[in-house]
Amino acid sequence: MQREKILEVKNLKTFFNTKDGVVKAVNGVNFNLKKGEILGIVGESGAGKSVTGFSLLRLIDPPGEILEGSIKFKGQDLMKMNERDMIKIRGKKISMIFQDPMASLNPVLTIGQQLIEVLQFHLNYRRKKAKNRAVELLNMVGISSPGKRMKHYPNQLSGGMRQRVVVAIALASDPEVIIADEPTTALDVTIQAQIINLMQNLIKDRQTSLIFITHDLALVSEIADRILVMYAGDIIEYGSKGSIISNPAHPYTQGLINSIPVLDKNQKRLKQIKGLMPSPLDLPAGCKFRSRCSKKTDYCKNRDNEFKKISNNHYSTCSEACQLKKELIAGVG
Amino acid sequence: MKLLEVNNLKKHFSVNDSFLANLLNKNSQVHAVNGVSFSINKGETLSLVGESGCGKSTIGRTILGLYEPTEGEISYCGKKISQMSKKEKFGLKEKMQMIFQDPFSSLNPRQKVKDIIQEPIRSHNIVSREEEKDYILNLLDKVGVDGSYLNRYPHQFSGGQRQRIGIARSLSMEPDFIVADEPISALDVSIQAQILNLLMDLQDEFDLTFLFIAHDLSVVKHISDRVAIMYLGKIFEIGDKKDIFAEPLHPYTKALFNSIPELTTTTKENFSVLSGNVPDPIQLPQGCYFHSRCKYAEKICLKKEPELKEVNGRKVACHQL
Repeated sequence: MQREKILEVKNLKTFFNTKDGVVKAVNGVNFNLKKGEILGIVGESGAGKSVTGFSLLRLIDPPGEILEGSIKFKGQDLMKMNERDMIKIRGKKISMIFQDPMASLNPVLTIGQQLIEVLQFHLNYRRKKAKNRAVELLNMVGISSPGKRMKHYPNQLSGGMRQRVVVAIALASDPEVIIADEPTTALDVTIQAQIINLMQNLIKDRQTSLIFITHDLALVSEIADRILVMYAGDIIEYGSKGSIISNPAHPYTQGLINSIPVLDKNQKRLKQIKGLMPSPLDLPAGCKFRSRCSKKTDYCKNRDNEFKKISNNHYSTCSEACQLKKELIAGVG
Repeated sequence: MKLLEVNNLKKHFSVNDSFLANLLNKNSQVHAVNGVSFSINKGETLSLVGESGCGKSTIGRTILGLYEPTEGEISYCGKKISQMSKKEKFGLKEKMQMIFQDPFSSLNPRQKVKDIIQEPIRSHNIVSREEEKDYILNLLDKVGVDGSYLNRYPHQFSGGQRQRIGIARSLSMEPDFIVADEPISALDVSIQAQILNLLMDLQDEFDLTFLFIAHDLSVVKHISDRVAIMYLGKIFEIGDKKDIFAEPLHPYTKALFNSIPELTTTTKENFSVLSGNVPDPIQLPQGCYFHSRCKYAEKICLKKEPELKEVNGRKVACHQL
C-alpha cells in the first residue's frame, strides 16, 4: 500500500555563521515522511540530526540560518510561509518533544497551566473545556490521579513523569507529525521502555507520523519503519529498517552496527571505527567518511553525494558498496 | 585471592541537617547504600548495574575513601581500611584508582596534559625527576595518545581522547584496583568501542582488577566476569556473568533485561514494561524494596526483607525463589 507523503524535505541546508567560520551543520538533505510512519534519524553527536529536526519547524536562531531547501508539509512549503502562518503549524500540526524534560517545561507554571495554554491557543478551547481535556490527556499518558497532578510544578515530578507530561503537551493539539529529539536519552532504561511503549501506542491509534532522532541504533531498530543514517551533515544511507540493520551498505553504518556489543553474542573484542568525525568547520571534499574508511579508493576523493540504489527501499551514498553489491549480484547471476 | 571485600556497607546522606531540623527531629536522610556485601578477586572485573539513584557510584566512591561509610567494613588485601594508619591509607591511594564518567569535568582545564599526569607522580614519588618524561610518554603511548600532545590543554582534545588521558593519569600510580564509574557513557558509540577495547587490553597487560559501574547491560556483558544488579541501595542478584545473562532470576533483573533495546530487524510490539517508579530513598519501603513494582509480590514481600541466598550458583534476594 502506497501511503500518502506528509512531509517532503528537499535539499535542506542549515549553516551557522560563527566567528571561527561557517559550520555546515546540515548540508543538503532530502527525505520524506509518510502518514503513520516512524522514521528514525541516527547519527553521532554533531552529525546534524537535531539541527535537521529544528530546521523542519524553522526553529533556527541566528547565527544559524536555513540557507536553502524546501520543506513541504502536505504540499505547502513551510519555507515560504510567513511567521503568522507558521505559528499555526508549529506546535499544532507538527509538534516537538525535546531531550531534557526539565528544560522544555516552564518551571514557574503548573503542568495544568502549560497543558491548558496549548489547548486554548491552538484549538481555541474555553477554559473549562480545556481543563477537562488536560485531565484526560494526563490520564492518557498514564499519570495517576491526574486531577491532583494538574496543580503540580515540574520540579515536583520525576524525570519519567515529566517526559509523560511533555508527550501529553505534544499530543494535545492532535498533530499530524511529531518530531522527537532524543526523547528518552535522559531517562533510565525501564522508564525509557515505558515512554517508548506509550508513544508507540498513541501514535498507532491516531495514525500520527513520528520522526525519532537518536544516537541509539538499537532503540531505533526496535521501533522505526525506516532509518536515515547521518554523518557530518549528510544523509549517507537510508532505507527500510530490516534492510539497513541486516544488510548495511555504507562502511560507516557497518562500523556503527559492529561497534555495538550484542547481548546474545560472545565477542572478544569490539570492532571499532578509527578516528573521529571531521570538524564541521572544515569539511573535506568528496566522501566525508573517507579518512576513517577502510575501503576507500581514489574515486572517493571527489565523488558526488548521490544516492545509489542498493535494493528496493535501500539507498546509500557509498559507491564502493554499490560496486560490491553489483559484483555479488553478477556473481550469483 | 580476594583483593577487596565489602561487608554490609551502608551509606546515608543527610538532606536537612540544620540545627533546627535536628532539634525538631526532622532531619531526613537519603539511604543511598543499604547493606551491601561483595568481594572482588584479583584480576577480575565485577560490574555494578542499576538505574540512576541505586547507589552504585556511591559504593565506588566509598571504597576509594571519598566518602566515609555510615556502617560496615571495607577490606583491601585482607586488611580493614578503617584500621589502617594515615600513612597506610596514603599508600593505598596508589593501589586504588578511579576513572571518571565525564572526561570534560574530570580534567583540570588550566593544566597541560603533562601536568595532569605529572602531579600524582610527584606527590607519590613514583619515579625520579629524570625518568619522569619518559614515564609519561610511555603511559600516553599505552593509552593511544600521541606523545607530541604533551603541552596541550584538555579543551584541545575530543571526548574520547580526554578519557584516554584520564586513564593514563590513573595508570600512572601503577594501581592494582580501578573503579571505573560509567567510563564510556558520555562518549559516542563508535568511540565507546575504542575505550572498551583499551580498558580490556590494559587489564591484560597490567593485571588490573576492575569495579565497573554502568547502566548499559550490553557493555557490562562484554567487559565483566561477574555482575551485581542493584536496586535502591541493595544487591538483588550477584553472580557469574554467564549465569545471569543466560537466565536472570530476580523479577527486577528480568524486567531490566527486557527493557534494553537490542539491534533487531523486527519491530517490537510491546516492550515488557515495569510500571511505576523507583521508591523514594528518603523513606524506604517496608519489606522487599521492589514489591511496589513487582507482579509476583505476595504478603511476605510486603513485610520481610529478603536476604541474598544461593540459587543455581549465584545469589538472589527474592522470597519467590
